[in-house]
Amino acid sequence: MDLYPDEVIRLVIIGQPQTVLSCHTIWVCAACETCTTRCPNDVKIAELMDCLKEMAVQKSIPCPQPQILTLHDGFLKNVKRWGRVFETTFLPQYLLRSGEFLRLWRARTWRDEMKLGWQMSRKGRFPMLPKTIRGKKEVRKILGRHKQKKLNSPRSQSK
Amino acid sequence: MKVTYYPGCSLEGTAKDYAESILGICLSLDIQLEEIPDWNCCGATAAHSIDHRAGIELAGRTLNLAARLPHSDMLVPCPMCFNRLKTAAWTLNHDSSSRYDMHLEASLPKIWDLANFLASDPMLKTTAKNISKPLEGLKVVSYYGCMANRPPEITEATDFENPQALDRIIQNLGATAIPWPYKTDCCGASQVLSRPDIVSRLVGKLYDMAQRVGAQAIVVSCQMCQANLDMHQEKIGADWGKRFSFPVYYFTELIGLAHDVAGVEKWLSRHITDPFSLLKRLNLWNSP
Ligand code: SF4
Repeated sequence: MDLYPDEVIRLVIIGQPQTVLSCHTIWVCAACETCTTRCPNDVKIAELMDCLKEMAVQKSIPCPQPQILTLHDGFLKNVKRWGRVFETTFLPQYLLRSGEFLRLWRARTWRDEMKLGWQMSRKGRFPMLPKTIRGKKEVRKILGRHKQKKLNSPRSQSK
Repeated sequence: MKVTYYPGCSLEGTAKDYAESILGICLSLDIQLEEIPDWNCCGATAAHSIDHRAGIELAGRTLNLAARLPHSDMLVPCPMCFNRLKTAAWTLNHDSSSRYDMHLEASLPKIWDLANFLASDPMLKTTAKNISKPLEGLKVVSYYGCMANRPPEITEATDFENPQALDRIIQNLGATAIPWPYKTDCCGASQVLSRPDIVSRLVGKLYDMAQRVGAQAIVVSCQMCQANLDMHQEKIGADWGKRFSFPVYYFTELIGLAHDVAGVEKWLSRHITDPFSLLKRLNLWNSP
């Protein structure tokens, strides 16, 4: 996190959207709701983090944690496709699209990841076929309101 | 007893063990599950992170389908789904007309987190009656994660800082639930694919504390926590310069074990960290 959550709130109050919308914090936030639950002033901090992420995407502000945005985006695309998420294609697609596989390849740890994936499928945890639903159209309508943004993002860094 | 059931997407895939154990114990507890016809994904972290309205309406669609079934209770095993359904129900009942293209049916069932449902007094009694193999000697910590309890206005949890549902179930089975401080500390599951470094820090802290309080295993009710705690123990141990090997059981698997339900071996064999050795050591496993 490059800003502490209270700094995010403060910057919103004093009107510095540019700083908050491009910060790492809103993306690194795990949405654990601890802060919202404990805030003595009833500030909905985690919900605000969500709101800022959505604003940043809508304004096409480059995401400083591109792999996180790729993950969310890929998940929703998968839901749009089937009506339910189909992990068997979602997970490998994420690894490829996010560049994560490339990173694992370069770090020479891709074999560990592959081994785990192989173990999981041997244990029957990756079904072969997706379960699709009749109400796909409704789901697509719900998910189709935002215009699909092209994800443009700078190199990811750890913060 | 007949209830409405929303399994959620991951119970159809990577959390097959959780799904099977629920079906197994519901037979022994005489609960009949009726799945919501044509339910859809709740949207999970992705929707609430970048498309708020979709997050509410995706869960809302499923709630409206649930309203068509006649049962008064609806069981949700996945805490993420539970949280999203509760959030949608709350939101659509408070400011629906202005901001969402969706109205909720009036006759919604009561939305239950599965662990809370099975920790209610009548269910504990039924569970106790069917125990054929008390889990004596098994010392565990219960781990709840974030989504079943927070935020309390939405989940309606009252003991959200020190929840008791899993502890009550564990004790009821004859095992020991050791009190510990990290019951609801986040394991970072939503970042497991995108920021494994963060997860290593968060989960390592949990293992370390579980070890210090003398737990032999960790008991969970969330398939994301389960995967996150079960799958990367060796790697996280290496990051921490320690060795961790905690079986991570679903509470439903322990109920199945104590009830001697058929299929326990199959459920457990889907885990990554060896769940059997500990049970054998404690004489709780007579391999079929
Ligand atoms: S939701 Fe959790 S991770 Fe996000 S800011 Fe609050 S406490 Fe931190």
